[in-house]
Amino acid sequence: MLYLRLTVLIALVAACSRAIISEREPAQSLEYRSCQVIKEEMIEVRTVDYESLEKNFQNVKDNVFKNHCASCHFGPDAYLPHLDDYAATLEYVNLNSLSTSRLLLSVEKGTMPPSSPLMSREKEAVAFLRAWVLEGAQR
Amino acid sequence: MKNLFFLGLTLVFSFAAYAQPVMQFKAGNDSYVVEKLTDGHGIIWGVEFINNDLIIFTEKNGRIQTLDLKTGQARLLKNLPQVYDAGQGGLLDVAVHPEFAQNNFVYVTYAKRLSAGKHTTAVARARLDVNEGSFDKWEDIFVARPAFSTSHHYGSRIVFDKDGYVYFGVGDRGQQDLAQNLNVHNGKMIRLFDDGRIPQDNPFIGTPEALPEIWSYGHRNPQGLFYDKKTGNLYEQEHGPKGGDEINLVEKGKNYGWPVITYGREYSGGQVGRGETTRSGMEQPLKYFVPSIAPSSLLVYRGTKLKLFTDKFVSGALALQHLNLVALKDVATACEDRLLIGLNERIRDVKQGLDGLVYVSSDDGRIYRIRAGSL
Repeated sequence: MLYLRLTVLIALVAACSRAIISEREPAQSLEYRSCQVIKEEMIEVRTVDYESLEKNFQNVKDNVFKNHCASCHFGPDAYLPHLDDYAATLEYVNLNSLSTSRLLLSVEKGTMPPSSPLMSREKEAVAFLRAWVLEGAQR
Repeated sequence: MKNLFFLGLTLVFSFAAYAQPVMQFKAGNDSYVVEKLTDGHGIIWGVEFINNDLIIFTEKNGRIQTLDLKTGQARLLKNLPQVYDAGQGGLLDVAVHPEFAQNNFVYVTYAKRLSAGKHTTAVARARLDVNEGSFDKWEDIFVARPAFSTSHHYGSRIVFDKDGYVYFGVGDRGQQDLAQNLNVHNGKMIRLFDDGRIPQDNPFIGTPEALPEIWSYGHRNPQGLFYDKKTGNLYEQEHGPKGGDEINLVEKGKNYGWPVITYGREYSGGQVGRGETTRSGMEQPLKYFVPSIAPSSLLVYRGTKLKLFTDKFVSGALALQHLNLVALKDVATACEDRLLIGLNERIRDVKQGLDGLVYVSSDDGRIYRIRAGSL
């Protein structure tokens, strides 16, 4: 009888231990295993044909500033210079000395836009901006 | 017939012209398009929805902007909080009060300079006048203590639950052992009333020397947090060291083990502590990642518009630069889907929009939207 009770007790302890262990079972090793084949395809973004554009402020604003600078420099509350305004933009352009034109300097030195400089991704846009300044920064 | 015509027009113009498709992908028979909504910002740390048409987003450099989803126009807001922008610190997450329409409160987490050379994680709120584009006075509702001179592991995402309690994580600030110490805020999940008061049913109220704001502990650097309205569950995702990133179901008063148990190793390759992965009284993650993906955000997508995402954990990956999908069901053993690899960008935040689509921000200063369909 004592032997039977001991056997039952041992079996109960063993069952409980298993239950406790299984509750604490660690998450399985998770080396990367993909669920399905996903085919990604980058879309070629149509770029501006700068050569066909007349070099005036409206085209600079619509094709360079609007695409690359508007989030910070458009609107009354924006950071200076306000690039949606011709007169305000001209304050950052020195027609007599390109080397001190702050607008060009910041773009050509790769400091603007701060997170993804235009020089490193769209040199054509920078060239168009420079050409506009060179030709007198016409309205 | 007339109705059909207008329905057609609505569908044609339902996606704004400024949104620029940059990628499409196909999973089985379903196609998806990734559109770029805005570009040229700093690291976009947090993204939240004010209403159907207006996003608010934080940049690590301290700026807060809104993005008008009808026009694509970003607007820099005025009267911003002072933040300490260095290393992993700066302006971090943003959340909108559940009753924003009535009280206009916006919450941010940020790195705050306390004394010379020492900084900490803080949570502040201010009222936003959307029309003026300006905040009123910022008020800290929480400042983690102590502060450290290290510039990493600040956490931190913010969420509200259905009862209006606010939750956020504080990282261990590189002081591993403090995550197990209940008399500091480091390595903890915090729960407060929306004005910073401490709920009296928090788990360590009355525990000698324990800080009463603590909801759970043993976290390393939590940068994903999601309150699932469908189930009432609070999910957290944190960076492990070398390997060992975790998704956890966060429950009141529980210990998530860092640095006593972890599936990661030290950056040197050596084991963390005694190299344990399980211990009595410490919670196992729902899932862990080896190698690390460096998770920066967490969403449980409960929408139906993007079939591939439904009922899955969605997280942004910094180091491995992708959007990570894992099914909630059998999460420990579930396979993963890795998306947006072709963008080659560190994915920072991910949100389900009020329109049921998925919005993603990146360290390259961009916000993308994922929709079903093809070009």
